[in-house]
Amino acid sequence: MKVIVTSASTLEPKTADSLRKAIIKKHGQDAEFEFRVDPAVIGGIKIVVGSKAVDMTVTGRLAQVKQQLLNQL
Amino acid sequence: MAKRKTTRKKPAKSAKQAAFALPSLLKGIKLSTESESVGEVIAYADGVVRSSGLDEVQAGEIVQIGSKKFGLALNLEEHSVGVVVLGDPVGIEVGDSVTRTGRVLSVGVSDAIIGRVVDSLGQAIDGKGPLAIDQYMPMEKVAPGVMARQSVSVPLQTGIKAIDAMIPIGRGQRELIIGDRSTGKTSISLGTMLNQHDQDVICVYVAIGQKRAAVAQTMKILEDHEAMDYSIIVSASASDSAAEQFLAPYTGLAIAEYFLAQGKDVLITYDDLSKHAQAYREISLLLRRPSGREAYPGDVFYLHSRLLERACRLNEKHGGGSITALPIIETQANDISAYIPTNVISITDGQIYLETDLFNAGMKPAISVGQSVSRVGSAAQAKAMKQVAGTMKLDLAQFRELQAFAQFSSDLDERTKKTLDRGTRINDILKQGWDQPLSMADQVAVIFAAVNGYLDEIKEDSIKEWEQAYREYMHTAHQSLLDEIAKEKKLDDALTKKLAAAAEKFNDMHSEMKLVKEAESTNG
Repeated sequence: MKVIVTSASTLEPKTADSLRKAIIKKHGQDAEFEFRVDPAVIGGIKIVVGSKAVDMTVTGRLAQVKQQLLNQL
Repeated sequence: MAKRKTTRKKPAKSAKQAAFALPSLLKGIKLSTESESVGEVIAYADGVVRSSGLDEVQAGEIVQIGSKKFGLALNLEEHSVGVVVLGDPVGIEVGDSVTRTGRVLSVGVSDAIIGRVVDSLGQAIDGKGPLAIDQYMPMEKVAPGVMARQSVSVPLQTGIKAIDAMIPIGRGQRELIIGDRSTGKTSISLGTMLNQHDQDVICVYVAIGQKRAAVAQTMKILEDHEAMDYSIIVSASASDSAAEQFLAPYTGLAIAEYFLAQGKDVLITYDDLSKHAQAYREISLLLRRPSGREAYPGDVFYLHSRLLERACRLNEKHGGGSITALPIIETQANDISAYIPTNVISITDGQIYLETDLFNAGMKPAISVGQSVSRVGSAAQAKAMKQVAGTMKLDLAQFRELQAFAQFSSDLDERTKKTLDRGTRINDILKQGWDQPLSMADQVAVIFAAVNGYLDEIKEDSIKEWEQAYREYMHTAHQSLLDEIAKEKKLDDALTKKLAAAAEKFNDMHSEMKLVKEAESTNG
């Protein structure tokens, strides 16, 4: 299973390691990790495991705010 | 900050209100951290994106590609999802994220859509600004069930004599218009739309794969005849993607169903479903679905049957509205036994068959009476029309039979000659300009005169003139008679007598159109 972790800057080795351990614990040993750096996310991280994504980046949050504001108009 | 606010000159009212409302709006926002189903663009070709992931995507769901583009998930396979891109595909890259939206295709509709031109996603393309949206109508929907329907009982007046008399259409019926290119298929549908001006029917015209110039022309015609006041045009022209052409009929139908839900009568024209089938074939081949006859996919029948099944007449309990569908099919070299024509013929409640030969011979509308039928419309036909048109079909059938026969021999007995004369005149009376729809009463008056022999004594080349003058005469001298026919919708003895007297009087007044009787001319 492919795991992609995207952050605005390189993660500290300690953080990356604990993240790795947590994901392996939940999804099993066969996880194949890829750490991406994308300044466009501004802050926070986005984790994609297989076809499931959890978006905890600033950009993602802003997109949610925008969508909900547009819905209220 | 405060200073800037005061010096700024009048911002737009809504923007100002929005700015004041912002803090309270922001309070209402809930941020969630839920896992969502995503995928990635693996490949793009010919308007079709192949996406990985998207585990929980539904068939027919809208997905977002990258940040701005949308697609329709049509093929769900083990390792990938086939997505048809809606709109312009420029800018899609391999690796773009594909996310679910949880929405199925729908069209935003409101009463303000009447008089507008929209594309297959329901967006206005007539330059008159965006549409107000009152409700979202789903494009794919199960047709109304048996218990919600009632049989056809109200006529849909096309204003065309040949159709209203012999191939009557009822509200809620599906009547196919079929024929070769340029035989007047669109003209019949447009003429029918023009005739709805006083019939309280909303018209939806769906143009599929047509030239933009043709759509513009159609719009102009409808505007010139003030028919846009109750019409909507849905256009997916030849330059739009196959996906948009495939969706256009469903968009038109969703709009029609919005008005159906209000209990209104709607007329929807699909011009034409041959191009629709071709667009669907293109999509299916690109998605690598197995192809069948004429390379159409296996579900091309279902493509049209589920569309046309949604035409209906609802019973009073469900609002009593109706959707009448006039699908158009273009044949090649009069071949109505090709795949798509036979499919649609079997789905619809009858067909109006147009022939090139008739068209070229000057018979307009070029309706082939023998091959055209209406399976349910006669139940809705006005009684008066039934009374006068009853003998007409028979007269015409006899005429056609004798016509072929008479070509070989010039020596004909009196009776044959009479049948031929009558037939020629009835045929002539059925010729009609497409943009000159007639009211039911007018049609009854004219056909009454033709089938009762009042035309037999009129010169063959004066028939058109006669009809014109007769209608004018009826309107000026016998308006009350026409009003009575329109009101009563049937001919009783008194009305029949009055009609006969009127026709006779008119003929006496116009002896210049009469045939010169041979006996008289030789003797005198």
